[in-house]
Amino acid sequence: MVYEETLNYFVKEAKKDFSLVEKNLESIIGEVKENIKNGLNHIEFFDEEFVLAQLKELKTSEKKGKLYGVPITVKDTACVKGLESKSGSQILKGYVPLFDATVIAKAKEEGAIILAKTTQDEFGFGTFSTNTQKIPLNPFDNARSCGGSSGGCAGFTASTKNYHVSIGESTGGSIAAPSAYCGVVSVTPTYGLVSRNGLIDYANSLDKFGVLGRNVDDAFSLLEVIAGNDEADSTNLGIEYVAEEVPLKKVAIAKDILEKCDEEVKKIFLAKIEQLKKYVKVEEVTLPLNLEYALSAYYIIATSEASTNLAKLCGLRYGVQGDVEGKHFDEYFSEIRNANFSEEAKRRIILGTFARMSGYRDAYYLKALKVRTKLINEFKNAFKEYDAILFPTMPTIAPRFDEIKNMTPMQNYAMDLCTVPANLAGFPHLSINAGFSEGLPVGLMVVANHLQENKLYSLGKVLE
Amino acid sequence: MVEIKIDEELVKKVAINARLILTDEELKKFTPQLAEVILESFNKLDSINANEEPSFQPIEQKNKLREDIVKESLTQEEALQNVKEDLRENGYIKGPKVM
Amino acid sequence: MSETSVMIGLEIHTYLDTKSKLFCGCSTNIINAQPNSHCCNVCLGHPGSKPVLNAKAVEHAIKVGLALNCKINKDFFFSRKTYFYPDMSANYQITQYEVPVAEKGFVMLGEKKIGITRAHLEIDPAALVHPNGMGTSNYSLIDYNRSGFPLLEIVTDPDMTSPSEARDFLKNLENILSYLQVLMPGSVLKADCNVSINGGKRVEIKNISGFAAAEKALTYEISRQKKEAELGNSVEQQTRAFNAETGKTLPLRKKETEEDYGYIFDPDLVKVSLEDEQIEKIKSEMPELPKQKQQRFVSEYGLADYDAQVLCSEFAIGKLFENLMQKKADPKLSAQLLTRELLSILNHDSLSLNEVEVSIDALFDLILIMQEGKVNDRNVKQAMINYISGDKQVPKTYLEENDLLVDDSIDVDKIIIETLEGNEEAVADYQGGNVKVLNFLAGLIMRETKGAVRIDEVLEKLKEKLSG
Repeated sequence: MVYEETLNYFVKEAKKDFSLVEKNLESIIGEVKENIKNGLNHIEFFDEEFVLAQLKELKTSEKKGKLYGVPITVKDTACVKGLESKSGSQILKGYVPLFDATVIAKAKEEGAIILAKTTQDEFGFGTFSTNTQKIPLNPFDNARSCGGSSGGCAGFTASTKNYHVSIGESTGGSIAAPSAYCGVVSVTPTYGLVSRNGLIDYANSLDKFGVLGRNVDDAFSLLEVIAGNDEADSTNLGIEYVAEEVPLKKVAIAKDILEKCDEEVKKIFLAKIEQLKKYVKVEEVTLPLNLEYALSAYYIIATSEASTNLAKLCGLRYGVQGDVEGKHFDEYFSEIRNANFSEEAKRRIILGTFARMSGYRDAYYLKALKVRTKLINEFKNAFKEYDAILFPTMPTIAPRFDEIKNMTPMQNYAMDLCTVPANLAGFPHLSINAGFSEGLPVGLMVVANHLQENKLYSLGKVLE
Repeated sequence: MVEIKIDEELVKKVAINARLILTDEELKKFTPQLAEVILESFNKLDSINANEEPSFQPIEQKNKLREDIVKESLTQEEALQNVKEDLRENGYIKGPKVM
Repeated sequence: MSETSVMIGLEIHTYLDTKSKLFCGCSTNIINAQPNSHCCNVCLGHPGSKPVLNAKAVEHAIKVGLALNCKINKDFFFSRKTYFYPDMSANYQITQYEVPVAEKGFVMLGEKKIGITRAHLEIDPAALVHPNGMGTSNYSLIDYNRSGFPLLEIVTDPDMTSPSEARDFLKNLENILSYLQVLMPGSVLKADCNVSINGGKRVEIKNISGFAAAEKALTYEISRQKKEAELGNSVEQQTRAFNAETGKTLPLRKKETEEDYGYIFDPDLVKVSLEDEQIEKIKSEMPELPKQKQQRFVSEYGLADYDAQVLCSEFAIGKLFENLMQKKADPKLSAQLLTRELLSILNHDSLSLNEVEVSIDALFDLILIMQEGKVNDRNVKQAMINYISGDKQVPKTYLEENDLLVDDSIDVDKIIIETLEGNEEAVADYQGGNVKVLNFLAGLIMRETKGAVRIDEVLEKLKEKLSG
């Protein structure tokens, strides 16, 4: 089924004619199988029976929800009851959650069909989805990265010809980055708008579930469904979300962040901005503190939290387990962890453990939390004058895999310079395609103040 | 200024704390990588004064409590579902020894 | 030989009385439960699960803080203490590091102030079972039923200077906590005891159950440290365990190479922010504490200070007394019966009030008889011993059936005359100045009549007859 209209149109028609659901699903299942066969690696885990059982249930269901019959791919980070959920890691192999993440439950409640888990960097540790067994390939150029860590989500969303949306997850930019490299729309919501219950943690104060789709309306339709109150998550804001257009006055380009990007990226970005000038005033702003310190503060906080989250992965209760007899627990735990964490996971665990160790804790962990407040305030100051702040989503187009292999970890982290500031501060942001360079998509990022998703929606509609 | 030397000894010590026993190869490889991150990125924070209150989450919240009401637990079977067969014993989960 | 200066500090772990666990809705009623049958995704540490704080536990913690004269922090936070152990479902414990719920309080032990450093909430780990014993077991068995249980840790300043003082403190603390009714029924206070002598290194004795064991452990440890000093060895800073059977402490692990816990503020939880009104409300709803109750017993019922103190030293005894007062029993006789009879029997048989069945009505009936002067003290004692440790027969019935009540039909004068006539030597003795003979003669009469005559009357009349 060739995707011609929006999801809302599909849902409306599907409620009248169930065969549309069946046709769309059959077609997309075919794409999933092709994807796996051809080694595009967007799909981490697919169970046809699991999918068809949902179809069967939907057919006789009374519920005619907002996502009726819509197939959804889900980043492996999300717990899906009955489906292996590993967050792209080796150590959680075999973990089958006993509960659905709240976002999954909500989507199912509205009639969505959970299609497959997608590939990603292990636990979200990466910008290119290369820290994993199955590396997703960019649909525009298979020798290049999809971006990360929600690489599989973006890759599949860009490839599919059928009605579909995707639930991704972002900690430092893992929804925006791959959506930019793969030319699709994404929304990373305000921290706390969408429940984290069932999100396999990377960094609890930074993780958010978000959405990817072919167009703005599709993405926001999914966001409406997964956002909202959840008692099970103590950091949830308890607020529902409804997408609607709102008036806009002034936006600003973050000049200093723009300067850090490749020339081609800058050119395409600025050309797209011209389009915007018809509808809204465009000025310039600088975020010097964010540019200088956001990456550092982010990596300190993220790795500190991650190192505690990953402590529970030690070969007990779920996932990879070994032989315990005769072994002291230090020995057993170390064995399992050494053998089943990737290099990047080990590095981040060590960095995080270091940053919160006594003697270093004040200078790194606690300092980073204070710097975070400062950086949030810098943005908020800008938001007093501007409805949104814009800059390229990534400083480059999708790199080639051989380029990535030669990057040091520090060089890797530096690629997050555009996405990290908004993620550290929990501001909602949209990424939308601005054009193409060398045949690869260039993404444009729009950042709004907390709970101002509708500003993103309105700007998205204009930019589309 | 935080005077600090990121050497193999420190990396090894921190790794052990996290129950990671690095091989000599890993230690050799990781140490300069970690040193780069810490010295070039983490240490940047030394050059900024921040007397603000720490942000534990991006948006400050408070008082998320629940009533003291009992909710249904998992059955023993469900609790053991993800445990390897040979690590289950009479309803207990088998683990490594402590002495 | 100079006096040894001793410093003792305690870390006490108490289970709070809540229906569900601290961060999840699993039931805390795990007695006789199958292993791993009271768990959920949260307390099993399943990836993706998230904690939510129990409001009742917070309320209890504030109550304890207030009762221990602490400052209640209006904003408090939770932390993750990360370390690896098979009983930890997440290999970090949710606890309170920087800002606990209560701090800087005190408890009075007689005239001495024992400082309370802090009181904070934290979760309990799972239970470990070692088949074939901890030392020889090849593996451990884990039961997560207890994982996530609500603990309140109370830390004292190192203000105690002897094992007996530590014991008294623990008894006192347990009493205060039982008055507050915040303790999980059936739970036992556990304490880590920190002790150093003569300003030396601190040794921690972990996980001691009950105040008697704490006193024994500390006594042994202090003498061990003294011996080391005498031999010229310096005491190592270390962690030890107490073996209740042998009465000795044994080394566990060196405190120097302690885990670096790498505390962070738990990012899955948000701060608790209290309003003044909330704290005031909890304060106003707090039950009477031992000291207040003691003062009230003195002023309201005219009891002696000492009797009031004894009645308040155990929550259950105080309650018993109040139940009797509700029935309008005579206060002084009730106090006498409870402190001098009941408590001494319990102490003698090493029983606690919870372990015996005592009926208010049974005690009340006995007190009435005492009030009417219809029974002698000695027979009261006998009836009580039988009630608590013997046939368990209700005292009134026991006295009646065994003819132990005062019999007003007995001609006291006649008996006295008969006794004096039958004990000429004693009479002569008394008249010679030996006043003790009076008690001897009274004793004879009491025995012969099986206490069926009033002792005061007997003594009075004997005195009269002997003088006259």
